[in-house]
Amino acid sequence: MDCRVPLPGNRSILPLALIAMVLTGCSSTADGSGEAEERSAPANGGAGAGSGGSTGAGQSADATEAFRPDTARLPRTPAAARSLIDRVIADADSFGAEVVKRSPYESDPATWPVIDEDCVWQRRKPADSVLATLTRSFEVPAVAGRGPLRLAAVVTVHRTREDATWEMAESIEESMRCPTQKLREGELIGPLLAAALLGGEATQTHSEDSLSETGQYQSSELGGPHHYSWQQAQNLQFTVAVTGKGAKGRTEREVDELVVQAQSAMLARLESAVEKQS
Amino acid sequence: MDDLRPGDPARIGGHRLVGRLGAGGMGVVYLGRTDAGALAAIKVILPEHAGDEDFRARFRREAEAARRVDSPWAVPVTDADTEAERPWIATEFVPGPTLSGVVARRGPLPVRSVMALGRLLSRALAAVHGAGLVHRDVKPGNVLLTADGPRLIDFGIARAADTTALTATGLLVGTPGFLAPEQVSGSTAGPEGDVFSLGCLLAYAATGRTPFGGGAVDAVLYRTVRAAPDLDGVDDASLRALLEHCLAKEPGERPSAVGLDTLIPQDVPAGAAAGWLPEDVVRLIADLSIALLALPGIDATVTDERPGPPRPGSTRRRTLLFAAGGAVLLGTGVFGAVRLTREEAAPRGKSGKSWVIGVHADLTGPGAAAGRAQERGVRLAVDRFNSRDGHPFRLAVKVLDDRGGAGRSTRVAEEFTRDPEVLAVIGPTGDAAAEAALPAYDEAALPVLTVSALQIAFPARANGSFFQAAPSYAALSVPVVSRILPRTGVKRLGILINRSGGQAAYQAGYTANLMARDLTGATTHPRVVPPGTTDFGPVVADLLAHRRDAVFYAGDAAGAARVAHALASLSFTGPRMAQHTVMGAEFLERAGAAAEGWEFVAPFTHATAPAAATFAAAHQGRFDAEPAAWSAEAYDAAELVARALAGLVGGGADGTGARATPSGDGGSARPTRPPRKAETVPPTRSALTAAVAATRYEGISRSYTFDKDNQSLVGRHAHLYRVENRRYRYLGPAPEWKS
Repeated sequence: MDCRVPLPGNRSILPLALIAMVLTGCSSTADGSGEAEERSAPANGGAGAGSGGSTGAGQSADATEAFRPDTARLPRTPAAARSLIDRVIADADSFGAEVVKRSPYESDPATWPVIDEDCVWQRRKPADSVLATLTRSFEVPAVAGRGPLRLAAVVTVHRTREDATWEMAESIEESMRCPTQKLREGELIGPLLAAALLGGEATQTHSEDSLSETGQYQSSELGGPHHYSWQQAQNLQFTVAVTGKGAKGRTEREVDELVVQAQSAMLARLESAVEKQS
Repeated sequence: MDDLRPGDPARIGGHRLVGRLGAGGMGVVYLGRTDAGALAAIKVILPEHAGDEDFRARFRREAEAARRVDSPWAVPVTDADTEAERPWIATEFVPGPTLSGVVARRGPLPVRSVMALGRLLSRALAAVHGAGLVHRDVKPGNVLLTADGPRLIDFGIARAADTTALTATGLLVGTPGFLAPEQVSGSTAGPEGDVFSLGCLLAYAATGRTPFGGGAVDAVLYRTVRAAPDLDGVDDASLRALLEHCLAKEPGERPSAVGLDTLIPQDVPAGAAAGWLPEDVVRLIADLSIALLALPGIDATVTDERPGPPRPGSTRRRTLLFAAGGAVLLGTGVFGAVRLTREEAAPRGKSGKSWVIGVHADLTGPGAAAGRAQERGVRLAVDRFNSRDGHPFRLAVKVLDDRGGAGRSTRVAEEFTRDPEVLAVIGPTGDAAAEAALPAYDEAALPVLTVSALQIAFPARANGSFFQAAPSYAALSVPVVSRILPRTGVKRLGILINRSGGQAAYQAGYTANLMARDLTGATTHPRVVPPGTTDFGPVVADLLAHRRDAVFYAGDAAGAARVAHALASLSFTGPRMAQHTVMGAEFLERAGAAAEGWEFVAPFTHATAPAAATFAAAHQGRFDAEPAAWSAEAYDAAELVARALAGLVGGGADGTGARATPSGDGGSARPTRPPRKAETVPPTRSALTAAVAATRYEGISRSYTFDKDNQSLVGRHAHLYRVENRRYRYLGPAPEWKS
């Protein structure tokens, strides 16, 4: 689907047309393109056709599980959660040939990213509902005329599905509260716009809930503004997320495709890690 | 007909219920449809009576007897279950108006018609009496009229508490004014009483008045027992004699039902007699029957059950089954709709072609209230258009129900696009339905105008034939913040998105947050809760802990009610607003007193808006009801299309201003020969799309101009409501943003 709306001029007030593009998930990132959608289409294909629809009341994610889990395979302890994360989280190959690990590669598993009152990202101790969480960092290295395209993948295992749905809600709140965010000293993202689609809404069939945030990225090291893209999806008690930050010579499409690629890979791995084996 | 209520069953016996026809002391009468598609009126007995063994025995006996009533002029009992927990009895549903309705509108009937009515109803009564029953409530409201004869309904079953009047002497079974003297005196009414009542009914049909007058019940009853009937105006001697015979005070002096038949002159029509009523009454009956049939839910096609969420594994099979069933059922729906369209399009003293405006609506699903209101709005617009002289064409309406479902919506769109007479469509009602229908409409370049599918953007399509004729959920956030934030002392806005409200809630809440910050510089405190949240206490407490001066809620009605209670329990009295999707009976019922003072910015106007006065009066006249939300907007959309059409084909006062439309826009060149005088060539769909896009129209609800690029409405004109005394009160136009 292509429904990009050109952004006329550089105005402080975001035009509704741009909001339209983002909120309806019309950007390529929210399109669910790639194998994830195709793969899960049989499981959810009937939702759009038969579930009655509505004038606005969303299809409840309760009713649309993307796949049927084997409850015995769902982690209940931090150790089991960590083991599952190791099997699910993206590695460099998940993105494609050009992507390599960055150093440090893995975050301290005792922390996760939190945005504070001043809209600055910090690594803090995770909430009690979190069984385990892990962040990995990657990049497409700089080549002549093109800067490094930095990527990160995050997988979080909550104790319950409800806890995971609250993480999604909080992610939306963060985007509303902090349209501009400071990643670390010298790195800013914003203005950001976030689209959220529950499973069954629009073309979203790959997860119970999906959030995609796009905006601009500026860095004292890499200049900018460049394209910024973030995708987060929730299934069961799990959330998986990927961020991509553009650089000089990197196109929006390039960033988005890498993000979608890794997100799809993680969702597929998650499914095979917990689905019922017949 | 009224909507089903939350406690109503979905099915009774082999019937799927589609609405309520009425309710009385004994139970509720539903309109239902059998699996074979036949309509039925189903009377379900209240539990308090069902538990009474005497009652049940009588009901059993009467239902059994009623099945033996065999007359073309008595509505047959089709099914009954006297042993069910709540016993019920079903009769055929006749889509005709009552005798009282026709006389009230048209006035008295001519002698010949009254005589025919007497003959046919006496035969119905003879069948009732022959089955061992006494009707006990023969009155104009229990006689339905069709073109081929009357139908007596509701004979004698489960009567006791249904039709009672409290008088000085106690309870009375029957209807004062149509009661026999012996019934008034408390004696058991026999078949003779029914004949007396029939006499009253015939006198009413002949004069428009009841023969024992009106006024206080006791006075009417007194005159029934003591006074001679008032038959002034009955000049025909034989009719007068017949009525006086039936209205004899002594039961034994009246003719029997069988005897009455023989007293009526032989030349009065019997049998399936076309021509038993004057032409204008037949037309009135046809109109009223159409209106009745066109009531939502009646011609709606249905599957047996709502397809639920797919279950992994069986999804494919279920989907296929649904698709196959849907196609078959859609076929019947289309048939019904086409039939209605033809009847309605039949020229009445006017010549000229009828072009069809489709109504693609949710008539039976979650958005049924909006869909039905829109259907009425379009019908009114078309009536109004057709009543004006000088147009070389007439408009007709074709309605298809998508039940709010995406799959059905696609098929409805395909059906409309296949019908060459359909030039434009008003609808769909809901967002999911609109999204599903869009590809088919766009491919056919068929102009489609929605007034209530208000997602901020639908995917762009090649032909640009999809118009959003109301401000989007996101656009409405501007009047929302314009209403809340300029108020004194309001600087901090709490925004709560309940994701149970889906995209409508997300888009409204997310954009309100952006607009509040960007337009006003106010601070916001956004909160989001996952779908299915039921405990809003902590989130509401958090909003207030951050000293929010005002709250905007975006989400569904159930959540809104919970938030209202939570805010009330914390004694919050600052401005409280919710998006318009919350507006409805559910919020008022669930929130109760906590709903007081909540405000809404809505795309729809109200009957009390000055600009809507004429429309509201016309609606009242046509549908006997105040226009519901979205009716005026659909009227506007249809009127806009009609104007665009008239502009394309010309609308000379002599009706000959037709001209061929410009070809070359759709590739299908039309014949270049000039159209014949009597026949106006309809424009191509793409020509009409272009004309709609270029039309500016001052409507009832707002002014309409479409954006050139995405066919969305220019401007954000909306309407403001506030809950006062447990009602939604219309406050006037919503404020515009003043920078």
